[in-house]
Amino acid sequence: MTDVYVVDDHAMLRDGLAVVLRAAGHHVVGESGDPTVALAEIQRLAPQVLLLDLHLGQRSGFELLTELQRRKVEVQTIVLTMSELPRHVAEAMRLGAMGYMLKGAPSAELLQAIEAVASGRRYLGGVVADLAVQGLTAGDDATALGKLSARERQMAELVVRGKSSAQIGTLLHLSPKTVDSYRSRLMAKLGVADVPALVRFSIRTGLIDADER
Amino acid sequence: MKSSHLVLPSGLPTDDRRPWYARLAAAWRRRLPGRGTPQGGNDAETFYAAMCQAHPQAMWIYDLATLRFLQVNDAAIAQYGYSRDEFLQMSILHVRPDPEPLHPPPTAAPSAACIWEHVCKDGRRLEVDVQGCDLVFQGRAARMVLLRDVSAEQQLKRELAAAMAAEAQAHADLQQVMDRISDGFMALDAQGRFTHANQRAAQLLGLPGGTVLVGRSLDTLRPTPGVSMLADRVATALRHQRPSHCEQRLAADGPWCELRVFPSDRGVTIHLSDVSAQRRAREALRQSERQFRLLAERLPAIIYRAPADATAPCTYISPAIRQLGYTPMQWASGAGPNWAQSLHPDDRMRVADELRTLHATGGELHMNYRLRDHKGQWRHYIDHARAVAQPDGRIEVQGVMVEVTELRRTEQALREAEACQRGLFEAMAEGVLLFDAGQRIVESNTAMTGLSGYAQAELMRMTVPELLRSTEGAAGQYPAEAEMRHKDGHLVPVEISQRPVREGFSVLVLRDVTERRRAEQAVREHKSELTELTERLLAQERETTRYIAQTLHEQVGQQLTVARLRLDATATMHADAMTDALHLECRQLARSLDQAMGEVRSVLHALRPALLEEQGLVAALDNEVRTRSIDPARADVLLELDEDDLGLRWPADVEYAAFMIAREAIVDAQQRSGCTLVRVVLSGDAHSLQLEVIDDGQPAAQVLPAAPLGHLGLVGMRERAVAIGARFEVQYDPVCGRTATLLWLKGKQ
Repeated sequence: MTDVYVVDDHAMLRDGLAVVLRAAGHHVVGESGDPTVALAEIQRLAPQVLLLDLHLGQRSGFELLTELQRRKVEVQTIVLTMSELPRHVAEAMRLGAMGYMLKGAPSAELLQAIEAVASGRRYLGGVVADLAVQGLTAGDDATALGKLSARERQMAELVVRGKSSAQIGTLLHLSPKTVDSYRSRLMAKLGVADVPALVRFSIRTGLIDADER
Repeated sequence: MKSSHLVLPSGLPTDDRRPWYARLAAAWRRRLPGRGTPQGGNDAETFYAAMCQAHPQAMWIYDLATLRFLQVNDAAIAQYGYSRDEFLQMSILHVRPDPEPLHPPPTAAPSAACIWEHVCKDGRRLEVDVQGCDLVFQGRAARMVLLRDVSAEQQLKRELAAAMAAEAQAHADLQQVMDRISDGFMALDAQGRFTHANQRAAQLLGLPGGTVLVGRSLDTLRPTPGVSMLADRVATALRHQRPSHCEQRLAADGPWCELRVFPSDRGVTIHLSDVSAQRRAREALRQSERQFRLLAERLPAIIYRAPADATAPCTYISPAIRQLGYTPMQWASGAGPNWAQSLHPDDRMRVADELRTLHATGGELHMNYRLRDHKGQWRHYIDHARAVAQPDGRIEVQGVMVEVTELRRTEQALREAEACQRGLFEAMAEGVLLFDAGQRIVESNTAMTGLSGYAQAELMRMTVPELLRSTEGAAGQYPAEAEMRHKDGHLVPVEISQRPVREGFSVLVLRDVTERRRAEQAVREHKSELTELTERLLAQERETTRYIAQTLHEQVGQQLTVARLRLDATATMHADAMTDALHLECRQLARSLDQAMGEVRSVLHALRPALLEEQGLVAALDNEVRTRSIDPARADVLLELDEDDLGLRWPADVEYAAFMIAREAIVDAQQRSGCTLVRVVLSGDAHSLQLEVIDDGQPAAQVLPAAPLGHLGLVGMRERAVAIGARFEVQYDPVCGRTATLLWLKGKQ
């Protein structure tokens, strides 16, 4: 049995969750639609798991996550939200959330998530896993490479070959600023932080030969 | 000849000297022995006294020291009017008022003659030739003086000198006059010697400057052709005693001279004048006359001279008469039809009257008439005729006939054209004004009367500025639109078309645009209403979208979530009691709920730009661009902005409109062929926003592809821009591609 605190601005949803959680043997120690109230109660009640919606009327679940992280509150948070934005997934993970689930997911999945995070493991819903990949990493090399457009591939090759933005711009009839935007975009898509990483990726995926450089 | 011892009366004829000698001898004989002179003089003294006394001319002897008279003779007494005693009481200063003589002596010798002015007792003044000699008389140093009255002689001399001076002056004046005249003048005596000649004469003869002719004869001059010719002329004139004249060049390079020779029995007088200018003028006149005749012969006008009788043949007719098909000979000889016969019957009476008036009053006359040519065609002429009285008293008509047939035809055509134009002028629906340089209305059409309310006569008394309320018409140039004052006082908006028609005149065409103004106002109002409606629609759309999104998110999504949770809970709690069919039904219901939830999310994504409200335009565009770039098969989409602009926020409606425009532009670009890259360039600050969506796709076809569901395409973009008071434009460049630009400036709506 796990002590769970529910934060959602919809009372009806909180009731539904409570029913499901209780039915599964969990203990709903508290619930709230207001982050401020929730923060105080979480600190006071010390639940093991927090089910948190990101959209709380005029306020955001990220506020509560930020505050919990700042205050180092020991609670495993599962974000339960309608948002499937990769940026939200990534942001939630960055702020210490252990799970991310979309509303409407099967109750069994929710219960699995509570069990997982309660035992200190991360849990991402089936769809959310893809979003997390988009938001945080590029996934495996082949998949990442497949997401590059023809010009992004061309740009990656030229960057790896040591061409400057100005040189690439001249070659491709683009402005240096556009080349910079391209460079940032493709590195984000590939999940590489800098040019050496991009070089390693390119060699690894056969985008260029090791001898070419 | 004077002698210091014996003074003889000079100027007397030898025979007249005899009585004087006799008187001198008698005086000498009457001398008494021992009587001597009062001062004990000697014989010489006695002789001097006797001689003085006996001399027929006035003589006296005076003391050189006191100048007092010592002795005077009878002639002196008679000449001066003083008695002897009076003389002996006087000194010579009494009779000699001036201390200096009138004519001093040529030498300083005492006996040298000089002329003094003496005064007689009665005041007469005498000019006296005085000669004297010094002697000793009565024991004193004295001078014996012989006095001769030369007053008359001196007067004659003076008159002679004056006469000679006058003659010399007259001669000099004559010479000056002769030298001043521009013509040459010479006078020669019968022997061929020049008695008079001026400098011009020598010059015209080609003689060197300064040559003096007077006193010389012709044969002594240098034999130039001019001199030779002159000698021949002089000889001929003297021989025949007849005046002659000729024009001759007297020097090789000299001017042409008119030489006039007037002989007399004492010689010849020759007058030479330079006639080069006259000759040139005559030659020019002759040339001019030739040219005039040539011109007259070639003029298309017919020049004629004719007697007063119009039926008589012309005395002269120029070749231009051929334009009627006749030769000058036919017309002048009477062989062909004459002028009177060729006149148009309708013109005959009038022209005859005009000719009679011309003959009666003289002067000039301009006649218009028609003449029939040899083909029977009527030709129009203007005849500038003049009555000229001949020396024999006859009246002759001289004139120039100018054919104006084409002019008449043109005038007729012009009248017809004017009538046509007038018809058009009057038929025009627009008001038309013709005004002069002073902007006075000189003509108007019927439509103008209707438009302005003024009668045409009233308009004729007005100026354009009085009619049009325009401050720009001062210089005669009116704006394209103005307001016209109707007679009843109300203002009529008019459209103006202005055009100059001829020097100083312009035409104004005025069109009443009241209805058009109303229509334009209505269009403006409708456009404003449309814009307002668009704004409201877009606001409504945004509100509706927000409401739907909120409903989907807050209500439907939550309800579906709850439903799913409850379904799962129910199925779990009652799993044992449920039949298989019910389990299947629960699973199908769960799938339906999942599907509905997925659709709700999809719609939410389309309706509510992610991150726009919570993180702003930059984050939303970044998310949108990333989302649109996931598919590598589609055109790349890049967001370009400065790092400084990352945190910028703008008003919610501006961010929403900018986002929706960017989304529309990206979708539109990705749909067009050839598009490989879409750049979203965002810049601005708190007071402005500029969004450019630049793509390299082909320009859109004329028929735009249907916008995807939920997208309004370019029209929607423009309307969204208008709704926030921003400027939106789309430009296409073959090199740079298409650029959709949104520019929003705070407070510039």
